[in-house]
Amino acid sequence: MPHCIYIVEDHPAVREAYTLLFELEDDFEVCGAAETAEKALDDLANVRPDLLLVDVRLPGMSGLELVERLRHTEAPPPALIVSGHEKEVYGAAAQRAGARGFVMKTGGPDELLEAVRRVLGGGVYFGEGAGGG
Amino acid sequence: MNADRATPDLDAAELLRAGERLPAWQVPALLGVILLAILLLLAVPAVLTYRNTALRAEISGVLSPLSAAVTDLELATSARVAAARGYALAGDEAYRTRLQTAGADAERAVQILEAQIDELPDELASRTTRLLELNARWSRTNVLLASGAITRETFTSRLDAQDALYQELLDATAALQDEVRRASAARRATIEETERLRTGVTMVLALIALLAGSAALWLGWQLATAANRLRLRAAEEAMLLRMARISVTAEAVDEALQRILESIVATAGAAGGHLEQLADEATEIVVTAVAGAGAAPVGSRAPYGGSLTERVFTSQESERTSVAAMAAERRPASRLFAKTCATCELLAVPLLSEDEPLGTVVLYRPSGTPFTDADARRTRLLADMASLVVRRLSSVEELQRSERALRESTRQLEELSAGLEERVRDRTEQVRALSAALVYAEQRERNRISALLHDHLQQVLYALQLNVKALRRTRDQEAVLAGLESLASEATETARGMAVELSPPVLRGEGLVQALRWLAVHAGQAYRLRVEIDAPEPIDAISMELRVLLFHTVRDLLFEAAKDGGSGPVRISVRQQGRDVLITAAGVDLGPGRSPSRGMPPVEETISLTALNDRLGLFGGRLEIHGLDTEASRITIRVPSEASATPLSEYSPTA
Repeated sequence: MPHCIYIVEDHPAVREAYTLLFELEDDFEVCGAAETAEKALDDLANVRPDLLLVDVRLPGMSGLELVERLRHTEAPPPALIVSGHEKEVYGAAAQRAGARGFVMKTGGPDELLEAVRRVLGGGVYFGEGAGGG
Repeated sequence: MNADRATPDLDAAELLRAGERLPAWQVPALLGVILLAILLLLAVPAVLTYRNTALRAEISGVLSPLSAAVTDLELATSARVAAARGYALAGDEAYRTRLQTAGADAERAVQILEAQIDELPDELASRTTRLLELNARWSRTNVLLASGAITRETFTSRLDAQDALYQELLDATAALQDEVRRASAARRATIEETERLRTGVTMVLALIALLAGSAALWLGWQLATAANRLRLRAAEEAMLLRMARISVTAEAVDEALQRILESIVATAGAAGGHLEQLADEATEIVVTAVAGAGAAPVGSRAPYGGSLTERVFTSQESERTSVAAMAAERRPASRLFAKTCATCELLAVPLLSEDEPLGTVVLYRPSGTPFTDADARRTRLLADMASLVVRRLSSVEELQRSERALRESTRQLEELSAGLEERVRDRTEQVRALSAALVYAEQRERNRISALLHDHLQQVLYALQLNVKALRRTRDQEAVLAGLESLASEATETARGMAVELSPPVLRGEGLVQALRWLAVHAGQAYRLRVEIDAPEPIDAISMELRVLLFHTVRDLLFEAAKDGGSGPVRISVRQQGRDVLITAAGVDLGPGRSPSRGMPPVEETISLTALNDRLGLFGGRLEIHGLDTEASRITIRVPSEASATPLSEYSPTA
């Protein structure tokens, strides 16, 4: 049974590209997407994804704040933070917020898929020097 | 220099000249001459009198007794001749007795003559000696006869010889008498000559004594004059000391003038006086000091011709007169004195400073005691001294005024310096703030560009990358390729938009109004902000840097409006008002509670209106805000159209 991935990304082109990429993988399916953290919080009351793919910068509440809010909920889904900035900027903050992984957009789709699988496998992914992989 | 004007130096020179006229040897010489004249006057007549007395004594004491003795001898000899011849011829004893008596008489005469011989002059002495010798030779026979030593016959036999001797005796007697008469006559002549000499000498000595007396009088006058000059000099030195004391102790010119006038009044022996001075550029005469009693002068008056002061000012000479004399001459000044001192004697002396009239000293005395030339001269001297004192004190006062002005200037300079330092501090603070604002603006622009890169271009390229990955795995490649093409177009458009954002091409080729119209369209596309441009005429006659400044200033204001969420249209009015470019922006909400639109910088990165104003200040412009914190706020930008950028070092903010 494929893993359910919920996407939180404000840029529509990226959001659509995520959907296209995960839908082409046999073990993944996209069970929801939101352009803001607020909308994601609303959706997650009804959706139980296996992994949250969250962009750091969002209009309004940031991705890190979303992860921090979900950490205090019952059985929060594991979250993988995605950012266009260097991991030195948000990597440690992502860990403190409770994210299971941090991946840079510059790493490309292969690193993204690897990070997703690592987190879904119960591991963590923060790239080299960002918390082990 | 006036004739009666005397300064201490001139007076000293006069004393020196007096000293030259009376050298040190002259007094003892004159005294010696006088003494010698007196001695001669006394001695010469005495000597001459003594000499005549001696001559007279010789005549009476020597010559006359000699002559008498010779006469007695001659008479006795004659009696003896007669008695001897009678006795020889008659033998009468009576003749012999007569002979003896006559012989005794002759003997007494001989004794007298012998007694005088030592006192007689040589000629008389020799003649007397000759007479006595002849008498002795002739008398011997007679004595023998009288004594009976020879007989009468013997005597008779010797009679011829006796007669011969007798004749010699008579001749000698006559010669002696002649000589005595000649000696007496010579002495009388000498006496007469001496008397004439004494008279002449007495007259000459009297003349010398007269001259000596005159010299003594002249010397005494000279000494008295010198003593008087010394007294004057002493008085002048005392007055000079007084003036010097006034000069040192007086603290103001007015005080010095009062004390000087009191000294002058006292020194001149005046009853009172006053001192008038020219004032207000010689258009007014002011009484600055009054001393003693007498005419009470007026406080101040305008100069008028013929007044005592004007005459003294004009002539720079002292004037001695009286109120009565002035009244007789119908001089107007007399009316001033008539009320209080109608009979006063007056002395007016100019007070000069380097031959420039400084004032007039007027002294008064009661009638009948007029001022003398000496009074005028002395008062003039004191006035000259007073002028020196006044000039010195005036210089001191001027110096004090200059010092006060200097202190005031120094104080003002210090205040100015302090103000300048404060302005420099303010300027430095403003420049620092402007520099910080420029750094902030630069960083804000960097943030905006970074946001554009991250939020748009980077996302599009990332999506493109994900799609390429998907393209490799999908069977429906046409659909993915269409998405890729769309993403590539979006990336291209984003890059172009960024280039335009960074440097709008319209700024380089179009005017300000056209650039603002482009900005309005761009704001509508980029921020969905409605902007209306009201510009009835182009604003082209401005420099490129001013155009860029105004463009970016308006763009920053539109950013502010966009943060407000674009609730209403922003109206931009552009006008050329005189020499200024005037831009008014209405509808820009500067109040609190604004929510930023998507793609705009966060609230904390809003622009600083102060920084905008300082930036405009570099071009001589300013930014004015009306209705701050209200929805109806209006912002006005005013800047000179011919302005160009001012270097920061010369920049002076307007706000």
